[in-house]
Amino acid sequence: MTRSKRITRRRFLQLTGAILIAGAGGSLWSLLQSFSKPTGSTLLKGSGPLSDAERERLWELAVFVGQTWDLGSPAEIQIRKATFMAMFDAKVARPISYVGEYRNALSLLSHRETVSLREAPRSRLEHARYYVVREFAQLHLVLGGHLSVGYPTFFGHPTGPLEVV
Amino acid sequence: MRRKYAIVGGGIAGGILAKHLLRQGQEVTLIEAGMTVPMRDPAQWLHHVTTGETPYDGCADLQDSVQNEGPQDLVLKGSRLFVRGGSTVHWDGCCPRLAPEDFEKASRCGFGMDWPFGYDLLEPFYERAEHLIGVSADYRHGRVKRRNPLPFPPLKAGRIDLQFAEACERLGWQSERIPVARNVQPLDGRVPCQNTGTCAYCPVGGRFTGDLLFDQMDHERSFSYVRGAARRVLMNDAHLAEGVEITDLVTGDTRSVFADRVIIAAGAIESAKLLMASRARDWTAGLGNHSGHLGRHLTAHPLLKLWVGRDVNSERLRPEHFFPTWCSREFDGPEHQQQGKMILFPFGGPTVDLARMIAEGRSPEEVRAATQGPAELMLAGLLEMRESEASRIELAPGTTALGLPRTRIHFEWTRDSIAHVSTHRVRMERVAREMGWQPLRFQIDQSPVVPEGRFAVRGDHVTGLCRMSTRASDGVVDPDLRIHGVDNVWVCSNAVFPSPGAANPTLTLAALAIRLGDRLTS
Repeated sequence: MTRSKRITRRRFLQLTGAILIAGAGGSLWSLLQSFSKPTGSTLLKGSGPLSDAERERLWELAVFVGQTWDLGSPAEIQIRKATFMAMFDAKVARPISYVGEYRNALSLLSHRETVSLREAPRSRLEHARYYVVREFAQLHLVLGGHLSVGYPTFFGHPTGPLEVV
Repeated sequence: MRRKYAIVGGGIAGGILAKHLLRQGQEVTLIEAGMTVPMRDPAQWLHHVTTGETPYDGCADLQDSVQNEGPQDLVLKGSRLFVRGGSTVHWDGCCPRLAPEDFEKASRCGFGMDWPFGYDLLEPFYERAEHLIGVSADYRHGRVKRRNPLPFPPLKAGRIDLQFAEACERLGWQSERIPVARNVQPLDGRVPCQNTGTCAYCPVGGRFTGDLLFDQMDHERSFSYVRGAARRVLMNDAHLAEGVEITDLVTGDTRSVFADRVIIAAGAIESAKLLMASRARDWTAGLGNHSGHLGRHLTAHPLLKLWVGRDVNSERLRPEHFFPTWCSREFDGPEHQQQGKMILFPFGGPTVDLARMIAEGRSPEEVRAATQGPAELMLAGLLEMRESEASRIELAPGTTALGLPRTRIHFEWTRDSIAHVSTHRVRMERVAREMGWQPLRFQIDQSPVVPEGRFAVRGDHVTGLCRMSTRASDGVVDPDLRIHGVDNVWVCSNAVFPSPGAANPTLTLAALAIRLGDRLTS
């Protein structure tokens, strides 16, 4: 698994143009933190469907998230590709389209800055973390990643405790 | 166009009745104010699991639809939905039956009302309702006895639920699986529950929702579906209705839907309000209100919440389902009826948001450690409220966004009942400690408990506003759910319950709807 992770990271960096700073704080997030500039509040404009290349790059990001946080074996994560692709398409097709969020996330992958996550994302980097990385992690968890972290069921409602009786 | 039946309300009761009547060759027009939202849609599911949003999020009450004027507030937002399928679109699917003594409240306690019939009369209809909905549980060990098995065996219980069951056993308390509306085998073309834990928007229909009833009806020639807000029942004379006046929510026009028979199945509050708005020469206080009981005896199920915690959670225990799988009906017996019964169960959602931690950049080690670190759980008690004639609703000036009258609520919970909450709290803390969790804080719904203060109860399971009675002077509808003094208008909602009991009311409502369907076509 470790070897696969290294390969994935390298591949991820090749795809995104990011530069890995070896040993930067020892945190794996340092990689994603290195995406960050510019962090203006305006998302990239976008319309129409994602290109095949964009979808593949998003999938690479999803693989990176899944493997970095051990949300399944490499084989298990690969099985989820069709579902992730369906999600990309669904999120772009529905109002309000995620095409700007996705292109924003992809564009940030070659910039660096550290920004903490807030409730209401205000910068482009926070948008990328909140609407892309967090959602990718959530989908991994529901598709089986919960087993890898020791939970027998998903039941990970992202908005907190439920109140329905 | 005149139909045999006009049904107001497209929730579970309206859906069951419409389906039954169509099968019997009747013509039905169903009027529903709420939207039709896409259910079992894969794209919507993907959006739900990643954001928590559902297509019915916008179908709840708005803040200004209600005006509270009583000693306590009743909060309707979040407790009911205006949507095709009604509140079962967002329910957790708990389907307990009322206990036999719940039908004999006045006889046993000296207050409240007896139902006009007993548990035994409703038992076969409970059974049919359980098969229609697709209920799963272990039928052999329930406190309420039944004649035949449930349609489905129980789902796998969560580990927290088993811990709760073991604690109850050590305390000598009764406990049992909660019957839930999950089909563990294929049912009506629906695949079984996949146990995804995403029940708030099920991708496969493994949880029963009221909209399922309409799937086959939409294409029937004898069925008309009207998106409209009912304004009043149109009366020909004192005893006979000729239809319903509605605001058509597609065109904005006011028009009449004519029918030989009218069934009001619009939820407890809206059903009562429609009768209040249907004043006529012979019904100056509202249709069916010669007795003065219309809109009164308002009860809900306050939810007692005890939050419990532990510093180390090495087994990674947490609620594993959207719904509870185990409960204790130890305090739901006849001996607790006088003070208010309670059904106790572990509940609540996850307190560790793994996806957020990942997005924040925590390391895999930190994420894993969080799953075994400090944890919280909620123990919940569904409480039977003592009926009070002073607890009531009225029509308030103005209309809601759907064109329905606003609601004025005078919600009154007797001091005796409130005082008894502390007794239940002690019981809840006892089982929590037996489970190995420490009590942290206690609430009635969203409010901290301040005995002399004002607090808010969420309006789940409202009952009692059009109560059923044998004598016209005691209620609004007769034992067949027909309005006293009117030949062709029926009410089928929780509003007809003479007393609520502690059990979730939906299965009982479904049983009443099936029984009414039989009576109408027999």
